[in-house]
Amino acid sequence: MILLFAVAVGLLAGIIRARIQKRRINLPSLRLTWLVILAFFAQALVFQLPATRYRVSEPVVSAALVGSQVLLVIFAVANLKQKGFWALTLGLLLNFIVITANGGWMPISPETVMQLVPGAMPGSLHVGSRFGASKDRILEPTNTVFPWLSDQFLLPEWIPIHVAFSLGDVFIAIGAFLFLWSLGGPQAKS
Amino acid sequence: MKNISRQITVTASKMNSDTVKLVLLIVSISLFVLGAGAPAGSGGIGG
Repeated sequence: MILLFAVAVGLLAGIIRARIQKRRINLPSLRLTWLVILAFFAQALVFQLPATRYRVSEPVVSAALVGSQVLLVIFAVANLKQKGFWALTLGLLLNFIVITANGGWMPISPETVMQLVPGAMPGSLHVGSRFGASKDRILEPTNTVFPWLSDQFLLPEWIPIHVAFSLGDVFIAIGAFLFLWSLGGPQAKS
Repeated sequence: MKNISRQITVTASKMNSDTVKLVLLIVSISLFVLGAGAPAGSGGIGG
């Protein structure tokens, strides 16, 4: 959910930019948006909905994650000409690469998990197990393919939201901001 | 039922099509970001 913050900030910035420069908001047409809805629906079933997310076996969850990200890659590439989509696509590809290289899960180290959940007993976090109902699997960095692409970054302690994120997530946030910021810019020439 | 249907039709026709387009654009980007990103929260619920 932390990534929605970038969407909200980008939208606000785009609207303010348009107002200051007395322009109408740009409304580009995105291609293949139904792929996004399909991908989100698949992920909602295995990650979000309480009625289904704990009933689905782990191989199905990882297959749904990888499959839905393939749909998102197709959508991102189809819209690559839109402003900010280079960053959205790059971020998605970085996450996609590390997830597929690690068996269909985003790796997270035990150290990062301990920082996220300070009260957790060290013995309660099993290396190799899924981290809650998230997209993450707890893996030692030595057993992780591309550990530098894993969920390894944490927000500063003064921010009351505890979340670990990846380099791909950073690019996705930048891309979302740039795309929504561009809505307040000059009209694209057709 | 007819009243509800009529109300929906009236409301939809009053809405600016640009507003509808903007909402669809925001929804599309939000869903993309949620699907493409993989942050992990303290409760282990990413998204």
